Amino acid sequence: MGCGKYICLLGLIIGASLLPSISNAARFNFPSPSNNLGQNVKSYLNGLPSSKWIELVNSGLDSINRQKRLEDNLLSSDITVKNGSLSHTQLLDTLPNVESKKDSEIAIKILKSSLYVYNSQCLPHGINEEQCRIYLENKPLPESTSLRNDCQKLLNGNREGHHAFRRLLEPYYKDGFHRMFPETRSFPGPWYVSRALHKSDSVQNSEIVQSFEKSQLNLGIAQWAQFVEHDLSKPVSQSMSNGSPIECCSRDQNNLQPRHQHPACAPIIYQPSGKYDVPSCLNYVRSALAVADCNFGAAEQLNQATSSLDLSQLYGFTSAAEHKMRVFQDGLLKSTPSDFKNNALLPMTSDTEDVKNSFCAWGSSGNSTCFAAGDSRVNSSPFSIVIYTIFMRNHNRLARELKEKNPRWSDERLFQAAKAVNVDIYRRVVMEEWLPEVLGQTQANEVLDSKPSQEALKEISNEFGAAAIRFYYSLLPNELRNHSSDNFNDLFEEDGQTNLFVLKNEIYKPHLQYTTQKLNEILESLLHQRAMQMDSSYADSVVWPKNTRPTHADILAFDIQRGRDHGVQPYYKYLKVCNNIDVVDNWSDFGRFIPKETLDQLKTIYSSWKDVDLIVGGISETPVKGAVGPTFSCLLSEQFRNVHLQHRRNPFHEYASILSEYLHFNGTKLLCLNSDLRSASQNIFKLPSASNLLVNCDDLV
Amino acid sequence: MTKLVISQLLLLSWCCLVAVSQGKSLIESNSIVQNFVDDEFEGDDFPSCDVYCRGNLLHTVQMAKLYEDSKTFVDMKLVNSPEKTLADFDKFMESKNQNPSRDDLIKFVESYFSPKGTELEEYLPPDWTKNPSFLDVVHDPDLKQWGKDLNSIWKELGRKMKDDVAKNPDFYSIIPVPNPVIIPGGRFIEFYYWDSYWIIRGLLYSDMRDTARGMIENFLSIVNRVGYIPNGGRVYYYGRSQPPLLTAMVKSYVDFTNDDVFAIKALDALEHEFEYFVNNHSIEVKGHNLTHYRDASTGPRPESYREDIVSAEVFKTEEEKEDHYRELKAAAESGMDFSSRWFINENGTNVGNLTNLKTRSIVPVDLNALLFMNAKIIAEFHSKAKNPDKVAEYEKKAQKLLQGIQEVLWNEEAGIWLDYDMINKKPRDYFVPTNLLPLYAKAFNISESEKISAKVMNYIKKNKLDSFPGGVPNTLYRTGEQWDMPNVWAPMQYFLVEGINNLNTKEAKAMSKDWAIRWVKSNFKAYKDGRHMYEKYNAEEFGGHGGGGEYGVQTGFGWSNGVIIEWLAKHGREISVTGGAKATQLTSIVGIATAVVLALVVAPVLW
Repeated sequence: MGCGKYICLLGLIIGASLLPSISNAARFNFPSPSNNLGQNVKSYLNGLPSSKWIELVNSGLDSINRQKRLEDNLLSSDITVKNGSLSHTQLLDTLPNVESKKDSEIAIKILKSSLYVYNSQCLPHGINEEQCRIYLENKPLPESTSLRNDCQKLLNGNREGHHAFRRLLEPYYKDGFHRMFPETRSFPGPWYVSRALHKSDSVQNSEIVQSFEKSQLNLGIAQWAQFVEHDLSKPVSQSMSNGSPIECCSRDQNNLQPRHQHPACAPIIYQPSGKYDVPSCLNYVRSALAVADCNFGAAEQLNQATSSLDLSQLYGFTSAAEHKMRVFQDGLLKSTPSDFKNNALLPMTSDTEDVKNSFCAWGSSGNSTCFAAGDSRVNSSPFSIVIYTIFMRNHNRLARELKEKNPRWSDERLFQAAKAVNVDIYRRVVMEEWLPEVLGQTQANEVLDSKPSQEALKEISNEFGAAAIRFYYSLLPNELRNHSSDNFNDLFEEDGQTNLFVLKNEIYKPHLQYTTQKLNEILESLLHQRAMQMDSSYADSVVWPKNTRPTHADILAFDIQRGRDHGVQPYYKYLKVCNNIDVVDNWSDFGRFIPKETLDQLKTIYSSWKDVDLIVGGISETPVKGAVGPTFSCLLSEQFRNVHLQHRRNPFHEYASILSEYLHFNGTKLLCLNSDLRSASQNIFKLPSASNLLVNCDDLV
Repeated sequence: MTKLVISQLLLLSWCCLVAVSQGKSLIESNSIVQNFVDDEFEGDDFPSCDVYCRGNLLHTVQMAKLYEDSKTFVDMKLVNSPEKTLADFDKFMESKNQNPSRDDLIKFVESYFSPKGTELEEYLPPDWTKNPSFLDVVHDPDLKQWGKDLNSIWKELGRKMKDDVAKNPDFYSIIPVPNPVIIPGGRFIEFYYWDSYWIIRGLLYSDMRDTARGMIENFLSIVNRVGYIPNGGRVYYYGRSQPPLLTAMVKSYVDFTNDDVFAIKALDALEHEFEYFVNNHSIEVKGHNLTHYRDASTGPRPESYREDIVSAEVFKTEEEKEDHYRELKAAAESGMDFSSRWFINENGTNVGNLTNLKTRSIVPVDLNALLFMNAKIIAEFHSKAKNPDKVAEYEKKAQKLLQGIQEVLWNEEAGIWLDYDMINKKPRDYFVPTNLLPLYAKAFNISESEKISAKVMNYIKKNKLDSFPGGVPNTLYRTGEQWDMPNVWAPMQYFLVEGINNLNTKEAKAMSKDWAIRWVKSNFKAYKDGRHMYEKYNAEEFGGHGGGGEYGVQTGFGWSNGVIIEWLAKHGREISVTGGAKATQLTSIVGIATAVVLALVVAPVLW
């Protein structure tokens, strides 16, 4: 392709996108959902006697109880997630804790009761799914039912985390409540979409080399995106009623016999075209549900994480989890000591009395590394292990510093103060350094300038958790190349460079020999390795485009399926709101945002532009100012604005004076002080260059 | 020795078939064959069974899981004779050290078999009409269009065997029959025994009497040749039948046509089938001679071979495994494969999975009630034929069955008929629609209608059977099996609705009509959404299809269509689905579907 043509096209896109990107925060205001009910709907449903409502709830409860026998049969046939299996690896990304299992159980009973109303009262009387849902969302569960009591008890109890993901737009389900739209010839399955978008690694790499304007972003941007995701968003899988994990594929990654399908299964299936090919299967269990209120209504997915940046992924989402991480001496967090001061490693699961298989997918192999933290996702890759380690070290470094200055402080006081400073530093790096690289400086400023208002605190949105924040997977490479400090010039001029690791080998199986030095190498290398291009093609380590039995997951397929599971509306709906477009009614309306080549590809995958999944549209957009395209930028901005407002509303008053002593802390310093790096660049999310000079770490102490 | 003689006789009858199948009905040739077939003996199976029902070739191919559905392989046609195929396979295995690779096997199968279904041609029944009379009573425009669509689906489900099948039956797993058939649809690409009852009734309501009669004649000819009707039209179903509804099929035809001669001519075969069931399925319980489901072959079900081997893995000895296969096949004979209805665990309850199948140790309500009904119909036909002795004989047989049903299966405490567990010597108090089947078969004293009606209505209430928006589920136990909660099956809705109606009380008649109308509306919703008629539906959903079991949900679908057509004919005046303000007009979906199919077929040629 002629280079000139390409530049011209890009210029056009940039030009066109300038307009929407200037507009103000008002465009984050998604339309409030319709609440209009037809008179006949109200009069029919209001006319049902209370005994009928109780009967409907009981039918829902009966139905859930009946599921137990199926679950017994599944367990007796050994249809559950096996330790060390591919499904186990996937499960660790979405591992529910005991509390969210309880929440979800009640939420599912409410949903099932609502579905009984829908199926036996709404549908046969010509009341459509939307009207039925709207009516039910305002209809309290009948008094004096056990379900109502359980629900009230739950709402009045001490609920740590476990809120429902917020919806920017109305739920998008076939039945209005929870049913996913079936895959058809025209509405392709997630794996099919992922495969069709995939380009081989060599093609992807050569595209980077050819692209005229290379992104200066390093892998830190992806690493921090993942870390922020772990803090804010954790959708978890549904479980069986006895807590066992649900498996939707056979051991050899084919589909199960229908008799063994749990109702919560929505496996990701790929049926190759040859008549001798058996379908491949990746586990997908529908996300756990949250109890929003004690009304009937549609499914709302549960977020096990908390909605502010509080390092809960390190400290634990619950006080019980935090308890496990603490030493209870000198305010310290548990760690695995090393010879060098300040350079300890994360604690092992054995140190925190955690079950290893809830953190790693090692299976039966006993003597293997498995780190512990507040979130099972710590072991998801060496990138995450490194950043969790940095913040653990920072906490302990701060605790020691505080102890030195205040030798009489109790463990509790030291711990809370160190945590407050640690979180504050983290927030500033995220909001002031990382966010501008993701959104562009202008957009980030807009987010940070938003003034506290009277509006209620807003939870994390489904659109953020199940789509926008997942952009970083596009930036991840297959391998991390060892950056031997001096002779490094460019990505592909790295003669003699060796890989530190291949990503696919490290997912929830920390094979590397983790030492202080190894962590240092990883950190240094990721700061010097260019992030992959933000586009619709992911590295081979995170997708499975082959027709052979999969040995690792397909993240893109998983994300597409999760978006559908969570009832996220299709891409175009967000495109419209985010970019102030009144009408989208054609593929060509995507042309301003998605490069032609990708758009042509999308046309062959989806038969209608209306069906393009949010995640697919989002990653397909050309980044304009920051790391992501306008639609994801908008969804991320909307969320971070709320996160920011939450921070403003709940500052750490108690520790104000201590915090002020650490205001000089930035990303560079954070990394320098908590590693053996000799130098780090001023902007830790960009490759070192003439405009992003390296700072000698020794100068920072 | 006997075996040899019989197989020769069977061969002889085979020739008869080929000769007769050129044109007219087979009924005349009845009596020739009749005399030779020993009631106690199930006859030898079909020559192509060496390939399709047992042996190393079947085992090797099925265990290699070449196809997603195990049924695919056994539906493929042989390129060579069974003997040559097997001999060459032995050589092939030897050359591969008894351990061929998957690709080796694919190559072998590709050169020795041709694709499944090639023995059947699509067939447009000549008696099909565009506007059958049942449509006249349907007033709602959407329902009327749907009725037209359903009528059009008969054309898609029509199949005729290629001439070569009759000439070279050994090359096929299909059992040759003289007349074209309507198949259920989906993976069921051949005729099935009990499915055909509702298909035939649907055809009769669609004014397709010739097609209906042709299918009945096929079955009569099979009784004459084989001695009974196998589960479906494939040799690998040998050894198991299905709930005996042939007599009711003939009765339906005669009710529609008043063709008494047809009834009389069918009598020999009907009696033969009746005796086959009474003799070969008999089980003695509390001094009564009743019947149960069972099987007369060995090994796993060929069409679900690998599944059965896997399910038998927990059993250690060959004997236990073989027993398990028998239970599986006996359950298949009941038509309810599979269901907690047939589970007996060590505690004597229905909790369990396939390994707890004890089909043969359960005295089923349905089989005995249907045999009672058959005896009554046979007696009725004999009275048409003016055979008073035979009338008395079959009335007596009916009375004996009725006595057994009343004393063994009726449960005063539960207020319903219950299957009986022979192992634990106790009734099985679990809901199955067949618990009410004596109402359909009129296997109760009509004088007790009031009392029975009160009991039955109480039973329905106690089990909350009226609480399901998508019809009455097959059981109340969710095991994952397809004949369990939440699946709902058209034939069972039919037995329930028509049976309750037979109670003739006001309350019962009202409920019967309610359920019929709800079923029609729910099926309509499913059709509107998915543009399919399904094999099974979902009790918990208005308009949702079923799942579970060993294969995915099938569409088509013969018996579902038949039941809807009958109920549109009966209740069409009173049902409306257009009531809602925003109901979308249902334009001819079949028309659209045909256009799509055409486009798909044409597309590769054009582009």
